[in-house]
Amino acid sequence: MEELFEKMAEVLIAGKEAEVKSLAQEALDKGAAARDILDKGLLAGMDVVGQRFKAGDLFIPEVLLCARCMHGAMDILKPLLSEADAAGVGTYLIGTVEGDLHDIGKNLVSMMLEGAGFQVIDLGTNITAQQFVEAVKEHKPDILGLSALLTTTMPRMEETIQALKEAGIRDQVKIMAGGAPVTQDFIEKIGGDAYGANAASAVDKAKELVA
Amino acid sequence: MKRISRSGIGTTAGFGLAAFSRDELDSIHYATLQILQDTGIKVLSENALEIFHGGGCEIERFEGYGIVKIPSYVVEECVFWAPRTIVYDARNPDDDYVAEPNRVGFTTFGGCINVIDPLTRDLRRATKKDCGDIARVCDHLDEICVAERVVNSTDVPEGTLSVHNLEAILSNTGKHIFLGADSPRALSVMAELAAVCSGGMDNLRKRPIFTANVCPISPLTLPTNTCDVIIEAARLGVGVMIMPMSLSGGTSSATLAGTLVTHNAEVLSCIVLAQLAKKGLPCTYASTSTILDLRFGTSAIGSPEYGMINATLAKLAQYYRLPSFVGGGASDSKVPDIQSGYEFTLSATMSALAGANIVFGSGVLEQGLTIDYAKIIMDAEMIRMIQIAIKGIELTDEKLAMDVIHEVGPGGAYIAHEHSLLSMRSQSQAKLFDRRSRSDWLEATEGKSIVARAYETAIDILENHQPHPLPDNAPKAMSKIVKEFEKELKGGL
Ligand code: B12
Repeated sequence: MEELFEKMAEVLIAGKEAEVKSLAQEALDKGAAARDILDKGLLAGMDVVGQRFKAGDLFIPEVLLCARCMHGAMDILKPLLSEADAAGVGTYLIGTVEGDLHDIGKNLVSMMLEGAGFQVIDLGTNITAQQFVEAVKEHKPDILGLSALLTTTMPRMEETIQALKEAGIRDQVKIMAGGAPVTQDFIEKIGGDAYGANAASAVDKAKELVA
Repeated sequence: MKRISRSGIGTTAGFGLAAFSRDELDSIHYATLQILQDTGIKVLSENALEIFHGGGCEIERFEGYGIVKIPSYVVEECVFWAPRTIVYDARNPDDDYVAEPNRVGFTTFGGCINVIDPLTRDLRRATKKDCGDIARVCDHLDEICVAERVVNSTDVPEGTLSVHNLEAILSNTGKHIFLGADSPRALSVMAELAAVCSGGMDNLRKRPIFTANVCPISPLTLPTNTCDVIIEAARLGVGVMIMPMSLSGGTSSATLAGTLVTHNAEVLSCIVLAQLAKKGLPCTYASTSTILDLRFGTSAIGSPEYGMINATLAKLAQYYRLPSFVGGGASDSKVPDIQSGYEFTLSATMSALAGANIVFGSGVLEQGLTIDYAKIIMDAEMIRMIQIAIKGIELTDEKLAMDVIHEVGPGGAYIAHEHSLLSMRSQSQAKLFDRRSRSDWLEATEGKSIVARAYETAIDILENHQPHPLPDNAPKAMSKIVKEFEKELKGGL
């Protein structure tokens, strides 16, 4: 079985969706647990993809192609996974703060997180503190990610954290933030949990937070 | 020997760039018309939707936005209404900038948030003081034809940024100013500031000394503020500069040709809105589009593609007979090093050769986030060199100098000839770059790097340059207007 997992990771890294799917099916037929296929085959492959991306060997569209392969295979596994397992590594709620319409970076982070096995709920841009609070209540994510690209919208991050505190749900969720003007210092100052300088480090930090 | 007049011979003046034939530009134009008519533009402003509707566009409404489909005849007519040539009026009339076809000027990048402190050389957040200081340096530099809001005043209350920016810039330069507006209301306050410096609103209408920058959001989206600022600019008679920043591979097609088409559609849709709001409103065709580096996920403004995209968009602006304001000379390096110099030169030269009216990008580092004083000074030196280069080589009888060549003859010397005396001052001249011998260089500079000397030049300008004076009452009046606006916003919150 280990060999099969290895092969699955290999074809996933090569971006061959049909083969990933048929290997996943084969593993199931041979009696492997869905959770093992996910962890040892698919996510193991995505791990390598993540490392290669960080090293500058893979381009973003290649990473997204690999992620698509993973999700293709997930369609087969999902009915066999418990709800908790189907959520993958964890649930990640993300959005760009109020007044800010920049979303390229946020979208990239979302896609990379999905590739790494997170279930991502993307609220979009121009999201008010109150909308974040409602969404946290509704989706109960493990992590909330805030994006801001403008110095003028950075204060919205702090206000969002404040609003979560007021709603009494700040401690139910880890908070990450990013965007070009955002810094580690800033996040510490406003009482967030982690900073993501780019998509690759956002994934690493997110994994640490849910570990 | 006699050389009498020649009959018409084919001549070119200056060096140019052969980017796209007329037919190819036509193909981009037709592709754009198709996008505007069939795919449409997403518009988030209710006011704008009404104006588009009134202008004969088809509107499909969804929750919170509308898709506007613009018939080709509306596009073509509106483009025709936009003024052909624009003089960018300046607070100091000596600095009025005439943007006739193929006149090439340069300005800095804009909207940065960080600055490398010229004294400590530390990276820090830019303040209102930086915004004014950098404007003063740009006022001094002849190589800068108009002033940008180079950095944002990040130390002022929310919603008032653009108003503070303009106050700082007006106080420090007499050149025409390009800057964005936080809101339509902020724009009208900005017009009040400018009016105070131009002798009243009527004078400002005759000679608008600033232009409002607006940015569509790629792909094919006009956010509320972009639309409403255009509409307010039309009301005030302030021209608009329309600058998409498509990132090829991210917010536009990964192929550059497709990027040109959507970029063009975004600019033209804003021109349609501006012209429907006020026929004849000055519109500047702008761009700072580039690629999204698909390995690092960064907006790579130091890439050759930045030059390629922006040079061709300058050609496209000429095709529409509109003044152009396109990228060239930006860098992704984090410090003013050799990478930043190479990157500056490639894309700035391309956009200049293409005949862009204003080449936008000097002084900037780090994908547009950081501005550096030394870089502004070094880039100005290179701008002078580029401006010499694009003039090309003139082939007149006088310049061919046949008589002189005969006279000096084989083995002779030109250096003492009167002809050299007459021509010498047209040579390019290095001030900061060094062309001396090694020993002279050592003596003159003590081996100090160009970057260090550039910082010194910048500091010297900051200490000594006096900008064109403001009218006596203006500083007080401006600060009152700004304070009242701050109060107004606070009251509103
Ligand atoms: C592209 C761009 C735009 C596009 C946005 C398109 C879009 N769909 O997003 C357009 C042209 C529409 C635009 C508009 C504006 N922009 Co803009 N824009 C940029 C630019 C050049 C690149 C941003 C980008 O997408 N980078 C690529 C992505 C992949 O990187 P990223 O966003 O940094 O994201 C990475 C990390 O930061 C991190 N990350 C991001 N979010 C998150 C979230 C989490 C949770 C985590 C963990 C990590 C993380 O990971 C990402 C992936 O690696 C920046 C300059 C810059 N270099 O950042 C200016 C910039 C941010 N914009 C600026 C300005 C001024 C504006 C406008 C106000 C201009 C105007 N006059 O209209 C408007 C504002 C509109 C609004 N209300 O939001 C200024 C900001 C100044 C300031 N005061 O802060 C900048 C710095 C440029 C400049 N020098 O002018 N902009």
